[in-house]
Amino acid sequence: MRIAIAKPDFGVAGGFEKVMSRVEHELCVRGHSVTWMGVDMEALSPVPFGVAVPPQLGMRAGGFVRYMAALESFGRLDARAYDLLITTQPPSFAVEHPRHLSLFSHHQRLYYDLCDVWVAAGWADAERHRHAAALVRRVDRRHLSRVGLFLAASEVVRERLRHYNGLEDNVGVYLAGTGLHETLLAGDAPGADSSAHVLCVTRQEFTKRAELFVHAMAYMPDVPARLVGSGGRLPYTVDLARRLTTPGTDLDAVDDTELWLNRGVLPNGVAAAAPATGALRFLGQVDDAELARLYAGAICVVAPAYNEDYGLTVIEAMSAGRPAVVCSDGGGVCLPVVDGVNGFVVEPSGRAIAGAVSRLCEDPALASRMGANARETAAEYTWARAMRQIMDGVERLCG
Amino acid sequence: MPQPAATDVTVQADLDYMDEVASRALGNPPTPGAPAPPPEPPPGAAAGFIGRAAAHAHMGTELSDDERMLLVKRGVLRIAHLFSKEQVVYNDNVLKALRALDRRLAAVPGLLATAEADLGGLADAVDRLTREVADLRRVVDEGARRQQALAEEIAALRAGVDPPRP
Repeated sequence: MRIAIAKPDFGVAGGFEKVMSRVEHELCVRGHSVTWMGVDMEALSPVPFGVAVPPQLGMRAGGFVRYMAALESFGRLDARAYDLLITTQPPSFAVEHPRHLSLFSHHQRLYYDLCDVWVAAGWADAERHRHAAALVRRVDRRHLSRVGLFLAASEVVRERLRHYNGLEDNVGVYLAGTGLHETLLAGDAPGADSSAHVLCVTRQEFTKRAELFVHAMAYMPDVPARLVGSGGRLPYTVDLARRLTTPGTDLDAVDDTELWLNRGVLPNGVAAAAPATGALRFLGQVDDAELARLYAGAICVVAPAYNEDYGLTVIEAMSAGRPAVVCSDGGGVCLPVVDGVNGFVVEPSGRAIAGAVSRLCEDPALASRMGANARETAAEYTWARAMRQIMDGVERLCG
Repeated sequence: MPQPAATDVTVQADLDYMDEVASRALGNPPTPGAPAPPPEPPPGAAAGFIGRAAAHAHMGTELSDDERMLLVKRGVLRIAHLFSKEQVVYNDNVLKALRALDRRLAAVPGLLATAEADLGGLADAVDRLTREVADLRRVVDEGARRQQALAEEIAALRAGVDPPRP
């Protein structure tokens, strides 16, 4: 079959790009030809649907203008020459095709499940943003209703499709692996880092909540901790670590607004240098070999993100036989975690995370038992299963 | 009746724009009376903006003799000059670049008019050529008809001179 994969081109190669490369590879191995249809998200029309948007609106509601421009660009792509269309991130579902499979990673979340926290953090004016959200949902509904079959990236994403779009009958789920987690499961990872530490692997962006990890570790200043990942909020998080470990700081008095529910603007406008030593170390981005070493040396892995679609980091941690600590409002990161069995599901606060981490640090037997359970859970997340789910979807559409 | 605040008007204008974009995204035609984008600055406005910027390009580097506390201000300016001298060079060069761009832009309407006139002349030439080609075609067709008639005439004459053999 000739298969087109439509995808927004953000110029980055993140977790989802790895997943889609793997899907492409697996489809090619099965004898299909795959063509990518992209829209360059850096070169969108400034005049979506022929409406000249005033520059000031571009600044006040830039996300809305860009989304509409992207929607128009995808709507213009012609996939008729292909036997099957696979769409990915929003709004690639605007491409039309009679056999349309959407590997639905998530909605444009600012206008759906993150709408309220986006406003609460001060990223957008409430009235404009809520109005934009209502319009985006109305426009999306029209395109989503034309998709033949959805395979949501997790049960959480499937639930969002039901909740926001009333879509249920033609929605399945596929659960991707990471590639690295298979290496970890196979036990091929390099040896552990010399010191046992608490690990957090996350992009430093809004709602990833690395700040909660930093807050938790401030309660345990002597426990070695490693924070892997970079992003726009890294300077803010580094500065936060400095502020929270300043003697005399009342950690219980620090609330979400001071931690993560904000725009990540440095209080004094100057970034602190990342401390090279100390209990909490910021490692930035690391390669897979180094990451595997860090997993192997971890007492546990904290995944503090808010309302995620899926939890690749948690799957990786569990594959390495490490219990995960997640927050109860974490969405997809919570799905593989059974509280008290292969990790802990705690309330979203630094103190609660610190409590769970303390238990694992103080009871190595418990950590080991939970790690073994975690490894068993992770073994279910295989690429073979993911591809079976995807190929079942293809079969269902194409007969 | 209380008048809406200026900010309310801005918000409503933004919402109207969003509504129009979304409406068209849903396949609807442009709404009659839909808010138009704000007007572009009139031609020549750039010169005014540049002129206003030029008036401040050396701001703070010169003092008139009428200034109060002239000596103190001169002292402060000498110190500030250590930092501002590069800024003045930058401002001057930005102004030069803007003026050069403005001159080029000012020439654009003339170039367009010339191109338009050239295109008009070209269209006339194409019309003329089309007519000439049509005339030529008629002449060629007429020649072909006459050639055919002559060939038939010659064949008839031959038939009279050389009767067919048994």
